[in-house]
Amino acid sequence: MAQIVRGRRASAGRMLSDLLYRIRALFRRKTVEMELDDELRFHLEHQTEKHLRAGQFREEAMRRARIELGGLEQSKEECRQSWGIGLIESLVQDIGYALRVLVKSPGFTAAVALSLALGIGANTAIFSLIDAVMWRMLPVKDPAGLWVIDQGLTFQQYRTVRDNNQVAELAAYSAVRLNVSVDGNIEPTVDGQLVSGSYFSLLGVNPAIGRTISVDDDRVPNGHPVAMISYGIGNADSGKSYRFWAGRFRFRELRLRSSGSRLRSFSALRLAWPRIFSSR
Amino acid sequence: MTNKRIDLPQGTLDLLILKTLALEAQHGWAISERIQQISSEVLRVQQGSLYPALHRLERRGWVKARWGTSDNNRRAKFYELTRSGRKQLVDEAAAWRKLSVAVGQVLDVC
Repeated sequence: MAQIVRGRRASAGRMLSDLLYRIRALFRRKTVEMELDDELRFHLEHQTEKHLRAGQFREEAMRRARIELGGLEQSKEECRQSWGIGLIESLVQDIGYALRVLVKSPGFTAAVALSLALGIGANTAIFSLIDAVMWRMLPVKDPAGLWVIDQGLTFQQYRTVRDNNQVAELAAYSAVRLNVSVDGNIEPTVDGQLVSGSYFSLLGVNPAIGRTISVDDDRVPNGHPVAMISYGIGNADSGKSYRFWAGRFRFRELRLRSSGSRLRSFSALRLAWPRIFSSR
Repeated sequence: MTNKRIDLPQGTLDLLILKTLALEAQHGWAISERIQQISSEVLRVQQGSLYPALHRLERRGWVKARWGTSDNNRRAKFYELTRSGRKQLVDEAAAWRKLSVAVGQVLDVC
Protein backbone atom coordinates (compact mmCIF):
# COMPACT_ATOMS: atom_id res chain seq x y z
CA MET A 1 0.00 0.00 0.00
CA ALA A 2 1.24 3.41 -0.86
CA GLN A 3 1.78 6.07 1.75
CA ILE A 4 1.64 9.57 0.43
CA VAL A 5 4.50 11.61 1.69
CA ARG A 6 3.35 14.75 3.39
CA GLY A 7 5.43 17.85 3.79
CA ARG A 8 6.58 18.14 7.39
CA ARG A 9 7.14 21.87 7.26
CA ALA A 10 4.83 22.80 10.08
CA SER A 11 4.25 26.50 10.16
CA ALA A 12 4.01 28.30 13.48
CA GLY A 13 0.38 29.17 12.81
CA ARG A 14 -0.55 25.57 12.18
CA MET A 15 1.25 24.43 15.31
CA LEU A 16 -0.71 27.01 17.28
CA SER A 17 -4.06 25.89 15.85
CA ASP A 18 -3.09 22.27 16.57
CA LEU A 19 -2.34 23.24 20.17
CA LEU A 20 -5.60 25.16 20.55
CA TYR A 21 -7.52 22.22 19.10
CA ARG A 22 -5.99 19.83 21.62
CA ILE A 23 -6.53 22.22 24.53
CA ARG A 24 -10.19 22.53 23.58
CA ALA A 25 -10.52 18.75 23.35
CA LEU A 26 -8.95 18.45 26.82
CA PHE A 27 -10.66 21.20 28.76
CA ARG A 28 -14.02 21.51 26.98
CA ARG A 29 -14.38 17.78 26.91
CA LYS A 30 -18.14 17.76 27.51
CA THR A 31 -18.87 20.13 24.63
CA VAL A 32 -16.52 18.30 22.29
CA GLU A 33 -18.10 14.96 23.19
CA MET A 34 -21.58 16.34 22.59
CA GLU A 35 -20.52 17.71 19.24
CA LEU A 36 -19.07 14.34 18.31
CA ASP A 37 -22.31 12.62 19.28
CA ASP A 38 -24.37 15.12 17.28
CA GLU A 39 -22.15 14.76 14.27
CA LEU A 40 -22.25 10.97 14.14
CA ARG A 41 -25.99 10.83 14.86
CA PHE A 42 -26.56 13.27 12.03
CA HIS A 43 -24.63 10.94 9.77
CA LEU A 44 -26.64 7.90 10.91
CA GLU A 45 -29.92 9.67 10.31
CA HIS A 46 -28.96 10.62 6.79
CA GLN A 47 -27.68 7.16 6.02
CA THR A 48 -30.88 5.63 7.44
CA GLU A 49 -33.02 7.92 5.29
CA LYS A 50 -31.01 6.89 2.27
CA HIS A 51 -31.79 3.22 2.93
CA LEU A 52 -35.44 4.07 3.65
CA ARG A 53 -35.69 5.78 0.28
CA ALA A 54 -34.27 2.61 -1.26
CA GLY A 55 -37.31 0.83 0.14
CA GLN A 56 -35.99 -0.79 3.29
CA PHE A 57 -37.83 -1.09 6.56
CA ARG A 58 -36.85 1.38 9.25
CA GLU A 59 -35.29 -1.26 11.56
CA GLU A 60 -33.16 -2.71 8.78
CA ALA A 61 -32.22 0.75 7.48
CA MET A 62 -30.99 1.84 10.90
CA ARG A 63 -29.08 -1.39 11.42
CA ARG A 64 -27.29 -1.10 8.10
CA ALA A 65 -26.41 2.53 8.73
CA ARG A 66 -24.81 1.59 12.03
CA ILE A 67 -22.87 -1.29 10.52
CA GLU A 68 -21.57 0.90 7.73
CA LEU A 69 -20.30 3.42 10.25
CA GLY A 70 -18.59 0.61 12.09
CA GLY A 71 -20.62 1.05 15.26
CA LEU A 72 -21.35 4.35 16.97
CA GLU A 73 -19.15 3.82 20.04
CA GLN A 74 -16.24 2.46 18.10
CA SER A 75 -16.38 5.38 15.68
CA LYS A 76 -16.39 7.76 18.60
CA GLU A 77 -13.35 6.08 20.10
CA GLU A 78 -11.46 6.34 16.82
CA CYS A 79 -12.33 10.03 16.57
CA ARG A 80 -11.07 10.60 20.11
CA GLN A 81 -7.77 9.07 19.11
CA SER A 82 -7.33 11.62 16.36
CA TRP A 83 -7.74 14.49 18.81
CA GLY A 84 -4.15 13.94 19.90
CA ILE A 85 -4.85 13.94 23.63
CA GLY A 86 -4.57 10.22 24.32
CA LEU A 87 -1.10 10.55 25.80
CA ILE A 88 -2.09 13.29 28.23
CA GLU A 89 -5.27 11.52 29.24
CA SER A 90 -3.53 8.26 29.99
CA LEU A 91 -0.86 10.22 31.88
CA VAL A 92 -3.52 11.84 34.05
CA GLN A 93 -5.10 8.43 34.64
CA ASP A 94 -1.72 6.93 35.55
CA ILE A 95 -0.98 9.73 38.02
CA GLY A 96 -4.40 9.29 39.60
CA TYR A 97 -3.79 5.54 39.92
CA ALA A 98 -0.34 6.12 41.41
CA LEU A 99 -1.74 8.53 44.01
CA ARG A 100 -4.45 6.05 45.01
CA VAL A 101 -1.88 3.29 45.44
CA LEU A 102 0.39 5.57 47.49
CA VAL A 103 -2.48 6.55 49.80
CA LYS A 104 -3.32 2.88 50.32
CA SER A 105 0.19 1.96 51.55
CA PRO A 106 1.48 4.82 53.74
CA GLY A 107 4.50 2.81 54.93
CA PHE A 108 5.80 2.34 51.42
CA THR A 109 5.05 5.98 50.64
CA ALA A 110 7.03 7.13 53.66
CA ALA A 111 9.99 4.94 52.68
CA VAL A 112 9.98 6.36 49.16
CA ALA A 113 9.71 9.93 50.43
CA LEU A 114 12.53 9.34 52.91
CA SER A 115 14.91 7.85 50.36
CA LEU A 116 14.14 10.69 47.96
CA ALA A 117 14.79 13.21 50.73
CA LEU A 118 18.09 11.57 51.65
CA GLY A 119 19.18 11.37 48.04
CA ILE A 120 18.39 14.99 47.35
CA GLY A 121 19.96 16.05 50.65
CA ALA A 122 23.20 14.19 49.93
CA ASN A 123 23.41 15.74 46.48
CA THR A 124 22.82 19.20 47.89
CA ALA A 125 25.51 18.73 50.50
CA ILE A 126 28.06 17.54 47.96
CA PHE A 127 27.17 20.36 45.63
CA SER A 128 27.59 22.92 48.41
CA LEU A 129 31.03 21.52 49.20
CA ILE A 130 32.17 21.49 45.58
CA ASP A 131 30.78 24.99 45.16
CA ALA A 132 32.69 26.32 48.17
CA VAL A 133 35.94 24.51 47.39
CA MET A 134 36.17 24.61 43.61
CA TRP A 135 33.91 27.25 42.10
CA ARG A 136 33.55 30.08 44.60
CA MET A 137 36.05 32.87 44.05
CA LEU A 138 38.53 33.57 46.81
CA PRO A 139 37.51 36.61 48.86
CA VAL A 140 40.47 38.66 47.68
CA LYS A 141 41.02 41.75 45.53
CA ASP A 142 41.57 40.10 42.13
CA PRO A 143 41.00 36.33 42.31
CA ALA A 144 41.29 35.85 38.54
CA GLY A 145 44.70 37.49 38.49
CA LEU A 146 46.07 35.18 41.12
CA TRP A 147 48.45 32.40 40.21
CA VAL A 148 50.08 29.72 42.31
CA ILE A 149 53.52 29.49 40.79
CA ASP A 150 55.16 26.54 42.43
CA GLN A 151 55.18 24.64 45.60
CA GLY A 152 58.35 23.65 47.35
CA LEU A 153 60.51 26.71 46.77
CA THR A 154 62.80 27.69 49.62
CA PHE A 155 62.51 31.18 51.06
CA GLN A 156 65.90 32.00 49.53
CA GLN A 157 64.69 30.94 46.07
CA TYR A 158 61.57 33.01 46.54
CA ARG A 159 63.65 36.10 47.35
CA THR A 160 65.84 35.57 44.31
CA VAL A 161 62.80 35.28 42.04
CA ARG A 162 61.15 38.26 43.68
CA ASP A 163 64.20 40.51 43.32
CA ASN A 164 64.87 39.57 39.70
CA ASN A 165 61.40 39.72 38.24
CA GLN A 166 59.82 42.81 36.72
CA VAL A 167 56.53 41.23 35.77
CA ALA A 168 54.47 40.25 38.75
CA GLU A 169 53.96 41.02 42.39
CA LEU A 170 55.00 38.03 44.41
CA ALA A 171 54.13 36.76 47.83
CA ALA A 172 55.07 33.53 49.57
CA TYR A 173 53.44 31.47 52.21
CA SER A 174 54.14 28.26 53.98
CA ALA A 175 52.03 26.22 56.34
CA VAL A 176 53.25 25.87 59.86
CA ARG A 177 52.03 24.37 63.10
CA LEU A 178 52.24 26.95 65.84
CA ASN A 179 52.56 26.48 69.53
CA VAL A 180 50.50 28.91 71.54
CA SER A 181 50.57 30.13 75.07
CA VAL A 182 48.05 32.47 76.58
CA ASP A 183 49.21 34.30 79.69
CA GLY A 184 51.96 31.73 80.07
CA ASN A 185 49.64 28.70 79.81
CA ILE A 186 50.37 26.35 76.91
CA GLU A 187 47.37 25.94 74.66
CA PRO A 188 46.73 23.33 71.95
CA THR A 189 48.71 24.00 68.75
CA VAL A 190 47.01 25.81 65.87
CA ASP A 191 47.43 25.84 62.09
CA GLY A 192 49.26 28.89 60.86
CA GLN A 193 51.02 30.28 57.85
CA LEU A 194 54.39 31.91 57.56
CA VAL A 195 53.87 34.67 55.02
CA SER A 196 56.02 37.18 53.21
CA GLY A 197 55.49 40.89 53.89
CA SER A 198 53.79 41.39 50.54
CA TYR A 199 51.16 38.71 51.20
CA PHE A 200 48.29 40.85 52.43
CA SER A 201 48.89 43.84 50.15
CA LEU A 202 49.02 41.51 47.14
CA LEU A 203 45.76 39.84 48.10
CA GLY A 204 44.19 43.19 48.97
CA VAL A 205 42.97 41.91 52.32
CA ASN A 206 42.40 44.43 55.09
CA PRO A 207 42.26 43.75 58.82
CA ALA A 208 39.11 44.16 60.83
CA ILE A 209 41.17 45.79 63.57
CA GLY A 210 44.81 46.88 63.73
CA ARG A 211 47.15 46.44 60.80
CA THR A 212 48.23 43.62 58.50
CA ILE A 213 51.74 42.28 58.18
CA SER A 214 53.53 44.59 55.75
CA VAL A 215 56.67 44.66 53.64
CA ASP A 216 58.41 46.54 56.44
CA ASP A 217 58.02 43.52 58.69
CA ASP A 218 60.17 41.35 56.51
CA ARG A 219 63.21 43.52 55.57
CA VAL A 220 65.56 41.75 57.98
CA PRO A 221 65.23 37.94 58.14
CA ASN A 222 63.84 37.07 61.55
CA GLY A 223 64.23 40.77 62.35
CA HIS A 224 61.06 41.34 64.24
CA PRO A 225 58.56 38.53 63.95
CA VAL A 226 54.94 39.63 64.28
CA ALA A 227 51.72 37.67 64.14
CA MET A 228 48.13 38.27 63.12
CA ILE A 229 45.18 36.38 64.47
CA SER A 230 42.46 35.40 62.04
CA TYR A 231 38.90 36.38 62.79
CA GLY A 232 38.05 32.74 63.08
CA ILE A 233 40.27 32.09 66.09
CA GLY A 234 37.22 32.54 68.20
CA ASN A 235 36.99 34.37 71.45
CA ALA A 236 40.48 35.75 71.62
CA ASP A 237 40.13 37.45 74.93
CA SER A 238 41.22 41.01 75.12
CA GLY A 239 43.86 41.95 77.62
CA LYS A 240 45.54 38.57 77.42
CA SER A 241 49.07 37.95 76.33
CA TYR A 242 49.48 35.59 73.37
CA ARG A 243 52.81 34.00 72.46
CA PHE A 244 53.43 31.91 69.35
CA TRP A 245 56.40 29.87 68.40
CA ALA A 246 57.33 27.26 65.88
CA GLY A 247 60.67 25.52 65.96
CA ARG A 248 63.36 28.09 66.43
CA PHE A 249 61.13 31.04 65.48
CA ARG A 250 59.62 32.86 68.34
CA PHE A 251 57.24 35.66 67.60
CA ARG A 252 56.89 38.87 69.45
CA GLU A 253 54.48 38.67 72.27
CA LEU A 254 51.07 39.78 71.22
CA ARG A 255 49.03 41.60 73.77
CA LEU A 256 45.47 42.02 72.70
CA ARG A 257 44.40 45.44 73.80
CA SER A 258 40.95 45.60 72.37
CA SER A 259 40.91 42.45 70.35
CA GLY A 260 44.04 42.52 68.26
CA SER A 261 44.47 42.35 64.51
CA ARG A 262 41.93 40.06 63.04
CA LEU A 263 40.77 39.34 59.53
CA ARG A 264 37.16 38.98 58.73
CA SER A 265 35.95 36.70 55.92
CA PHE A 266 39.39 35.64 54.94
CA SER A 267 41.18 32.59 56.17
CA ALA A 268 43.99 31.84 53.76
CA LEU A 269 44.73 30.45 50.36
CA ARG A 270 44.38 26.91 51.52
CA LEU A 271 41.68 24.71 52.83
CA ALA A 272 43.33 24.13 56.21
CA TRP A 273 42.02 27.46 57.51
CA PRO A 274 45.10 28.72 59.29
CA ARG A 275 44.30 30.70 62.36
CA ILE A 276 47.52 32.66 62.69
CA PHE A 277 49.58 34.53 60.12
CA SER A 278 53.20 35.27 60.93
CA SER A 279 55.85 37.22 59.21
CA ARG A 280 58.85 35.25 58.27
CA MET B 1 -20.14 -5.83 -7.14
CA THR B 2 -18.89 -5.32 -3.59
CA ASN B 3 -16.01 -7.69 -4.19
CA LYS B 4 -14.69 -5.57 -7.00
CA ARG B 5 -14.32 -2.53 -4.81
CA ILE B 6 -10.84 -1.76 -3.58
CA ASP B 7 -9.85 -0.42 -0.20
CA LEU B 8 -8.33 3.02 -0.10
CA PRO B 9 -4.55 3.06 0.18
CA GLN B 10 -3.51 4.49 3.50
CA GLY B 11 -3.21 8.26 3.40
CA THR B 12 -5.29 8.74 0.28
CA LEU B 13 -8.50 9.33 2.23
CA ASP B 14 -7.12 12.69 3.39
CA LEU B 15 -6.42 13.63 -0.21
CA LEU B 16 -9.93 12.70 -1.32
CA ILE B 17 -11.50 14.64 1.53
CA LEU B 18 -9.45 17.74 0.74
CA LYS B 19 -10.38 17.46 -2.93
CA THR B 20 -14.08 17.08 -2.10
CA LEU B 21 -14.01 20.14 0.13
CA ALA B 22 -12.18 22.23 -2.48
CA LEU B 23 -15.50 22.98 -4.20
CA GLU B 24 -17.65 23.87 -1.21
CA ALA B 25 -18.12 23.32 2.51
CA GLN B 26 -19.76 19.96 3.28
CA HIS B 27 -20.86 17.92 6.26
CA GLY B 28 -19.45 14.45 6.85
CA TRP B 29 -22.26 12.45 5.33
CA ALA B 30 -22.21 14.56 2.13
CA ILE B 31 -18.45 14.09 1.88
CA SER B 32 -18.76 10.32 2.05
CA GLU B 33 -21.58 10.34 -0.51
CA ARG B 34 -19.62 12.59 -2.85
CA ILE B 35 -16.52 10.44 -2.68
CA GLN B 36 -18.59 7.34 -3.43
CA GLN B 37 -20.26 8.99 -6.40
CA ILE B 38 -17.13 10.47 -7.94
CA SER B 39 -15.11 7.31 -7.56
CA SER B 40 -17.93 5.50 -9.43
CA GLU B 41 -18.50 2.95 -6.70
CA VAL B 42 -15.06 1.45 -7.13
CA LEU B 43 -13.45 2.83 -4.02
CA ARG B 44 -14.76 1.62 -0.72
CA VAL B 45 -14.58 4.51 1.73
CA GLN B 46 -15.13 3.18 5.22
CA GLN B 47 -17.51 5.59 6.85
CA GLY B 48 -15.93 4.70 10.18
CA SER B 49 -12.58 6.06 9.09
CA LEU B 50 -14.05 9.24 7.58
CA TYR B 51 -14.75 11.05 10.84
CA PRO B 52 -11.41 10.33 12.53
CA ALA B 53 -9.76 11.59 9.33
CA LEU B 54 -11.88 14.77 9.37
CA HIS B 55 -11.00 15.44 12.99
CA ARG B 56 -7.33 14.84 12.26
CA LEU B 57 -7.44 17.25 9.33
CA GLU B 58 -9.17 19.79 11.52
CA ARG B 59 -6.48 19.43 14.18
CA ARG B 60 -3.78 19.92 11.56
CA GLY B 61 -5.50 23.13 10.49
CA TRP B 62 -6.22 22.00 6.93
CA VAL B 63 -9.97 22.10 7.37
CA LYS B 64 -12.11 24.31 9.57
CA ALA B 65 -15.38 23.17 11.11
CA ARG B 66 -18.43 25.25 11.86
CA TRP B 67 -21.96 24.34 12.81
CA GLY B 68 -24.64 25.21 10.32
CA THR B 69 -28.05 24.10 9.11
CA SER B 70 -28.37 21.25 6.63
CA ASP B 71 -30.85 20.96 3.74
CA ASN B 72 -33.45 19.32 5.97
CA ASN B 73 -33.05 22.02 8.63
CA ARG B 74 -30.92 19.96 10.95
CA ARG B 75 -27.88 21.21 12.88
CA ALA B 76 -24.84 19.81 11.10
CA LYS B 77 -21.08 20.17 11.32
CA PHE B 78 -19.75 21.62 8.08
CA TYR B 79 -16.14 21.35 7.07
CA GLU B 80 -14.38 23.80 4.79
CA LEU B 81 -10.87 24.03 3.42
CA THR B 82 -8.46 26.51 4.98
CA ARG B 83 -5.70 28.27 3.08
CA SER B 84 -3.06 25.83 4.31
CA GLY B 85 -5.48 23.02 3.45
CA ARG B 86 -5.66 24.27 -0.13
CA LYS B 87 -1.88 24.25 -0.30
CA GLN B 88 -1.79 20.80 1.25
CA LEU B 89 -4.22 19.58 -1.42
CA VAL B 90 -1.92 20.86 -4.20
CA ASP B 91 1.12 19.21 -2.58
CA GLU B 92 -0.59 15.88 -1.92
CA ALA B 93 -2.17 15.73 -5.37
CA ALA B 94 1.22 16.35 -6.99
CA ALA B 95 2.83 13.69 -4.80
CA TRP B 96 0.08 11.23 -5.64
CA ARG B 97 0.42 11.80 -9.40
CA LYS B 98 4.17 11.36 -9.17
CA LEU B 99 3.74 8.15 -7.22
CA SER B 100 1.11 6.64 -9.51
CA VAL B 101 3.16 7.49 -12.61
CA ALA B 102 6.24 5.91 -11.05
CA VAL B 103 4.36 2.77 -9.99
CA GLY B 104 2.78 2.57 -13.47
CA GLN B 105 6.19 2.79 -15.08
CA VAL B 106 7.53 0.01 -12.91
CA LEU B 107 4.54 -2.19 -13.74
CA ASP B 108 4.95 -1.55 -17.48
CA VAL B 109 8.61 -2.44 -17.43
CA CYS B 110 8.17 -5.73 -15.63
